[in-house]
Amino acid sequence: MRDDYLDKFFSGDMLAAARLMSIVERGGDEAEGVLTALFPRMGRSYRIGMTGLTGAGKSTLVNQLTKHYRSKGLTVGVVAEDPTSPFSGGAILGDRVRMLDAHGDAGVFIRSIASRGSETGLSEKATELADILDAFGRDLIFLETIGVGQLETKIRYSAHTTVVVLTPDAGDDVQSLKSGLMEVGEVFVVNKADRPIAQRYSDDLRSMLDLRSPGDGWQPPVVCTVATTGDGIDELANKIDSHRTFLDANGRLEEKRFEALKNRMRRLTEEKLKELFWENEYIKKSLETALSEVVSGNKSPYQAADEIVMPIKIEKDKIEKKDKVKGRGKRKGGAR
Amino acid sequence: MNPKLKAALKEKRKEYLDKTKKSPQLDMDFTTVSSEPVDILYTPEDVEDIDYMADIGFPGEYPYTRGVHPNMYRGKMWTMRLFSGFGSAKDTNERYHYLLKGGQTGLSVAFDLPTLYGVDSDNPRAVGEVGKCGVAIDSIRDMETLFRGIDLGKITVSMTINGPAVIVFALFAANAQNQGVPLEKLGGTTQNDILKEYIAQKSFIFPPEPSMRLIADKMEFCTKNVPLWNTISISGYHIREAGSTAVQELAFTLADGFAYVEAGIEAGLDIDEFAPRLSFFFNSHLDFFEEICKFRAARRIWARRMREKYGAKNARSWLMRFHTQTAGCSLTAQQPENNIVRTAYQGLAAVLGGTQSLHTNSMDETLALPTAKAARIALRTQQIIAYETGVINTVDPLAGSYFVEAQTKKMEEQAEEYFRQIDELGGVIKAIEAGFFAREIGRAAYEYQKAVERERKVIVGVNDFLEGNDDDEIPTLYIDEKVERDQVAELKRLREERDNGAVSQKLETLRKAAEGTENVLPHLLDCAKAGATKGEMTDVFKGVFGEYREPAYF
Amino acid sequence: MKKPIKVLVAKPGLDGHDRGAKVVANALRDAGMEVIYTGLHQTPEMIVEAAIQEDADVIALSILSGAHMTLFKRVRSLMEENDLADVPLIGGGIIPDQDVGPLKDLGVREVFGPGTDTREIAKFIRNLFEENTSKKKTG
Repeated sequence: MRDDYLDKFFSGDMLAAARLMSIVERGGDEAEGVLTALFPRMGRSYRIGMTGLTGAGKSTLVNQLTKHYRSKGLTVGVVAEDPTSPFSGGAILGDRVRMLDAHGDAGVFIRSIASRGSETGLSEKATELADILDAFGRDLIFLETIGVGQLETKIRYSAHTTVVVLTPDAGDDVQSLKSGLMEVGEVFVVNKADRPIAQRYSDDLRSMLDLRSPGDGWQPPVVCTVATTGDGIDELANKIDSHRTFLDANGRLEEKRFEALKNRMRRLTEEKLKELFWENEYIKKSLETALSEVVSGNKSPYQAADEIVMPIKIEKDKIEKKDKVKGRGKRKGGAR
Repeated sequence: MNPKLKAALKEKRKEYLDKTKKSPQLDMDFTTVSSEPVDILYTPEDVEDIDYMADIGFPGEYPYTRGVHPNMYRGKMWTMRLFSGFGSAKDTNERYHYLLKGGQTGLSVAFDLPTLYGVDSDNPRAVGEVGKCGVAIDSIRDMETLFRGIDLGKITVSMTINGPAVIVFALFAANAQNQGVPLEKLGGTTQNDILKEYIAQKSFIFPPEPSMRLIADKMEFCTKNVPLWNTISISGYHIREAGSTAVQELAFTLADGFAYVEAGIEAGLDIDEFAPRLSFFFNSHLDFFEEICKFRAARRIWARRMREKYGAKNARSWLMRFHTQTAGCSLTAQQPENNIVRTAYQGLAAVLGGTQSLHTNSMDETLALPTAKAARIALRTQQIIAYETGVINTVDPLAGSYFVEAQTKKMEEQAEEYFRQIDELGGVIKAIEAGFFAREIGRAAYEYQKAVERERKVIVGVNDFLEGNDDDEIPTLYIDEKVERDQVAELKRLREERDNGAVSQKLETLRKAAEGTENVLPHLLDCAKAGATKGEMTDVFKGVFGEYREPAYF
Repeated sequence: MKKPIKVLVAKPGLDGHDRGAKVVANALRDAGMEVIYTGLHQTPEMIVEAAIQEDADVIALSILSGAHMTLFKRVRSLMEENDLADVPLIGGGIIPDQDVGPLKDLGVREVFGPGTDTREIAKFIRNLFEENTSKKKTG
């Protein structure tokens, strides 16, 4: 079944791509198999993260940007995430409704995803779906986060350019924005800029951004848009493109890719370790033993945890000893 | 109230409430259809703050709580107007003659979906939809057929049309002129209420702002040239059908009304010239008293705002005239004959609420468009209310009821609270764009559904009293696919026979008017007379104004 | 974690009565499903395109305009052209009894009329899905 889809995928079949995405969404060995098979084709697309508060107009902006880039001949993929209800485990994925201008265009592939318990604005699964669209040959990929407006920092590992979408809502001022949101933005959008207070809001935003000294030499621009009419979209695309050029010129793009891969490997390793660890019969038993000692008051939870991880510590010491024998140079080189 | 009586009442009421707590009580939610709690008893205490002269007054006098005319139905029976249209113009014309012969006193046109969206019957988007939900009207020729044998100078015609209202009105008016009826004699209503389309009914075409401009054009044109025409019928009906509560229907509809008034004032019109031609259209749902109170509250709020906030001086600007339709969403597909009973109570509530015109639904409307017999029974229902029940003998018979007056006041206050929220969002259009209405209504609809499924609300034939559901077949109207084929053929013939050069030239002039600020109505009349189709005229506007697409709000 | 069932809820045709579609979308979410809501005025092409890209497990259409015969037929044939013949298609809205049989002959699995309990729809979908996955496993 999987190989069947892979063959079709390589010949550009959308349904096959969609089904492979579902396999990846389900997770497990099969998902890893798919991602491994597609890995050689990944790393070619440019990824744009769209984040911001609920109702800021992210999807409508993606719709407009998609039209813009399609007119330039680039193919587009979109992964749009919506929250899973913590009560039922279900979700309503409604972003697609706002992205319908591209319907009937095979150069646009839109996929919705539910957060399924992921607490970040963008789940790991969403990134993996973007990987598939990448391997599918999409030139540009938009990653739209759920509109929680917090904990958005993860998007920096998934996107090359992160666009933060804000609206000049009455009563809110720039000062109240979450600092996480401010730090992650490489391009800022003040959407719904036809509202009277938009000008003041964007001015405030600019002066606040000016106070920050950008670590990498990129000063995040502020663009005013009206997503529903398309006003300001060309300028927004322009700024995204400038950021891309900036990253390219400074070798930052490679660095970003490297950071993203490193982050992902770390995460995968942790996950696999966790799985291996808790599945292990010996560990399960020692948890129970340690727990009863903690309950009876013989040990503190800290001592108990130390005991549970003891076998790993022993293994680690062994490995380090071996390494020392083989020489230090190699270890250093391995971390590059 | 004198303090002694007040103390005695308070004491007595307490005693009574204690007694009720010890008496048996059914396991039911004693709430309205809109899930509003209702007290077990209302007394003079509940109406203490109501000033009869200021808040209730006399029929035909400010604030019109008791009705808009001094002698109400003794003076003029409400207009019995059944919303109808199906298949071709010819099919519908036959139905009109049938209903007029049966005693109907006004016409109300139901258009098919392609017409509501301004697409011609031969457009690919119209496939399968032609003549299904109403009558298919593409050009002045269809209008001619639709009203053949009917004197448009004598009978009023209501048209449920919104997105392309100005266009369809132009087709109608141009045909009337061709028939020798001058514009100043033309009486009737175009619904033309675009705001509620964005809020509930969703048959919009253009974005809100150009739509409001078209409405202002129409108000201006009609004020000058078609003085008997109701330019907008501000509609709560569809808001309610989309699942709102009674208070939401009341508040959102009136908020829309205020927005039109403001648009008229902004367009430089004199409020006392255009406001008297604004009319309203409400739903009459199953909760008898809630509906009656809604109608009474609506009149009072409108009068007060028009006079106090907008400074209207003409008494005709203050009074709210409205059409009512019984609630389609309250009808059941199960045991459909029961719908006759539901509709009768709803019609009665509308009459006790002081409606100027009434549509009663046919029993088969959850299944298909009405058959002739079902429509006749619906009309007879109104005639029975009018001529047999005696409810018309006295004006506003429920006034002074502690319950009715207290409830009317409460609904007025709840509506005011919504007005405050809408103002905070920056007005109706901003609230639409923020998804405010869609969310409020969607939530109410889902809560209602859950209450039904938890059986906290009983719907006969749906979640209780199911016996009879299996042998409930009644005959239904079937629209043959031939209607579409014929209509497409007609359209082809029109395009061949008319002077296409003249049509293009008129459409071009229309485009220029739309791009500028000139009133589009005279140009639409020219296009209509030259044989331009509604789709061609709509396309001109689409080119200039763009199209609106709704984001889905949950 | 068991994968939630993905349902595409769409309103084809020109009618704007989305009360039912939205109530059903809410109810299916509350029944633990992932609902892709594509909104009003969808052409059959748009619906099938969304079903492909989203890899929907079930397609649910709501039609109150009377155009159900034309629209279901078109959606169904596009599904077949696009290898989606296995994906169950269900419908709801104002659909007269005499049309239900012909719709089922077209391949519409079930038609839910006015007054349907939304839990019944959720249950039907769940059964369909279980039946479908067990078929995939054995097949």
